[in-house]
Amino acid sequence: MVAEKYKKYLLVTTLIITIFVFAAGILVGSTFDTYQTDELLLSIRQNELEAQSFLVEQQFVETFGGQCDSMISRVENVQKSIADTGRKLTLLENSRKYEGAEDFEYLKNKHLISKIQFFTLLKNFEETCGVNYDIILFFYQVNHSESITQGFSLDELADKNPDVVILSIDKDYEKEPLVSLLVVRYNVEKAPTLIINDEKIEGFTSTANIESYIN
Amino acid sequence: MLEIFAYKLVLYASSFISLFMAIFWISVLFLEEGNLEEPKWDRKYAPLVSILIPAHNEEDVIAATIDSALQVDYPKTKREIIVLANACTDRTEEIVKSYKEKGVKLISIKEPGKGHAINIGLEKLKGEFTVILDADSIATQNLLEVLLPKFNDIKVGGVKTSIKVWKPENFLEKLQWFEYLSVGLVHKLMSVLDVLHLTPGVFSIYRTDALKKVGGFDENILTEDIEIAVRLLHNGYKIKSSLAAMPFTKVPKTLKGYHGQRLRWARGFFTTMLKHKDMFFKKEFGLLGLFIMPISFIMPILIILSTLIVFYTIAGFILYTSLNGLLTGKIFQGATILLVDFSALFWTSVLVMCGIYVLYKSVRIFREKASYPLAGLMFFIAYPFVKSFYWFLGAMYELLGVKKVWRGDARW
Repeated sequence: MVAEKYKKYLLVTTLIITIFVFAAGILVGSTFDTYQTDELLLSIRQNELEAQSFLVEQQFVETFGGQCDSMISRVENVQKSIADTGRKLTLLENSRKYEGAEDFEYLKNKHLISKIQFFTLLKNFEETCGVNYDIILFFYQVNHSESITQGFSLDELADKNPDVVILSIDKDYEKEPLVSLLVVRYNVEKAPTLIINDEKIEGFTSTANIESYIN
Repeated sequence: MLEIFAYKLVLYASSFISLFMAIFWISVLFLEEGNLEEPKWDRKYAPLVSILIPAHNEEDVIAATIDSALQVDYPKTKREIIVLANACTDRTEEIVKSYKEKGVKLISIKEPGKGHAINIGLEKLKGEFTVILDADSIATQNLLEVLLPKFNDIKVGGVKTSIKVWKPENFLEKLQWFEYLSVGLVHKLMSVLDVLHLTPGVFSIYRTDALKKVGGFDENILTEDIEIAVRLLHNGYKIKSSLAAMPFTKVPKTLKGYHGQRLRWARGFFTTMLKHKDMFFKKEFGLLGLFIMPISFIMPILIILSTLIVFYTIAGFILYTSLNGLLTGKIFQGATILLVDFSALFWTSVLVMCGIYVLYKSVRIFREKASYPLAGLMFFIAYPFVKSFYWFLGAMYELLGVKKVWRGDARW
C-alpha cells in the first residue's frame, strides 16, 4: 500500500504545507493591513501639510493683512480631510485589528495632534478675521457603542452642515498630554460628551438636538 | 488586550489545525486515490457468517431488513440470520416468526440494551464472522463478497461499510445525505492509515474470535459500535472500511430525532475516548494514538470557541447596527470592508476549497449525482459547528452525569 511508504512523512509533509498556507494567510492579511495603514498615514501627512499651510496663511494675513475670505474655503478643506481621516481611523480602531500595534498608536497620536493643532488655529483665525465657526468637540471612548453611534450622528450633521467643524477626541487617550489638557479644561467625565461652542452636553445627542445648539 | 489575545489565539489555532487536517486528508486522498479498489472475493472461501439483527419495536421496517439480509449473495448453508428482538412490545417478533421457514432465527430478549442483545447473540451464534445489521437498514447483495476479503489480513478485527442515506425526502435528510457521503470517504482514508476507530451499527462485520477475545460489546455505553472498534484497536486489531458495499440507512426525519441521535453519539464518543484515554500519545498505537485521537478531542473545542467568536462578532454587529439604526436611522453605516480580517478570510477560502474538493470526490467515488445544492451549501456551512456543538453537549451530559436514555427510546 502506497500509504505505508508515505505514512512516516505524511505528517511532516502536511505540516510543511500547512505552515506555508498559514504563512501565506498571514502575508495576505498583513499586506492588506499595511495598505490600510499606509493610506491612513498618507491622509494624515496631507492633513499636516494643509494645517501647516493654513498656519502660514494665517501668519501672512496677520503680518501683511489680507483677505480672510480666501481662508474660509481652506478651513472647509482641512476640516473635511481631518474628518475623513478620523472616520477611517475610528473604523480601524473599532475593528480592534490593530489594538496595541505601535504603528497604529503612532498614527492615532499624530492625527490627534493634527486635530488639536487645527482647533487652536481655528480659534486664532476666529479672532484674527472676526468670523464665528460652530465648533464641536466630540469626546468619545473606544469600542463604546454610544460613542460610535454619536459619531455617526455627527457624520450626518456634517453632511447637512458642511460649515460645522467637528473634532473627535478619545477622552481616555493617555499617551498625548494635550488630551488631558482638553479633558480638564472642559471637565469631561463621561463619553460621549459634546462641547458645542463651549457648551457641554453629556450622553448621546441626536442630530436634531445638536442642530438646535448651533448657529 | 487580553480579549484580543485570546481571540487571536483561538482564531490562529483553530485555523492552523483545520488547515492541517484538511491538507492531511487531501494528501492521503491524493496519494491513495488510485489504490481505493477493493480486493476480490475468492468464492471457494466461504466461512460461516452470522448476521445479527438487533431490533427494538421495529415492526415497520424489520421485514424489509430481513428480506435484504436474505438476498445477500452468499451460500445459504454458510450464513445464519438471527433477529435479536430486544424488549419488543409491538409486532416485531410476530413478523420475524413468519420468516422461520426461510431459516431466520428469533431470540427474544427482555432486558433492553443493544449491547446486551448483541452479546446474547454472540453466545448463540456459530459463524466465524459476525455481521451486525441495524433493523432499520437495508443490506446490499454484494456486502459479504466485498467485505470478507478484507479479513485476509489476520490483524483485521472489523470492517465497516460506507453507508448511504435511504431515499432522502426532507431537508434534514438531504443534509445527512451529504454528511454520510463525505464522512464515508474520510473513513475510507482513515482505514487506509489504520486509524479508523468506529464500526457503525448500520452494517459492520467482525471476526467473531476477536469480538469474544476482547470481551464482547460494552452494555453500559450509548454507542457500543464506537466502543467495540476502539477496543479492538486497543487490543492490536485493525478496522477497515470498504467503499464497494454501500448499504442504506434511514436517518432521522425530524429535528427531535436528529437531536436524540446526535446527542447519543456524542455522549458515546466522549465516554469511549475517556475509557480508552490510555491510548492517547502512545507510540504503540501509531498515528491513531499520537495524532487522530488527541486531535479528535481538541478540534471540537477549538471549533466551539471559533463558533462562539463568530457568534459574538455577529451578535455585536447586529446589536451595533440595530442601535445605530434606531438612533440615526442608518442601519448599515460603518459596516465596511475595513473590518474584515484578511488572514482569516484567506484561510477560510482555502478550507472551503478543500471542503468542496472532498465533497466532489465523495460524490464521484460514491457514484452519486450532485443533488440537493441548497442542502449541500447548508451542510458545508453548518456541519462543523453542529458536530462540535453535539460533542460539547455530549461531553457536558457525561460530565454532569445526566441519565442515559437507551437508544430504542431516543431514536426517531
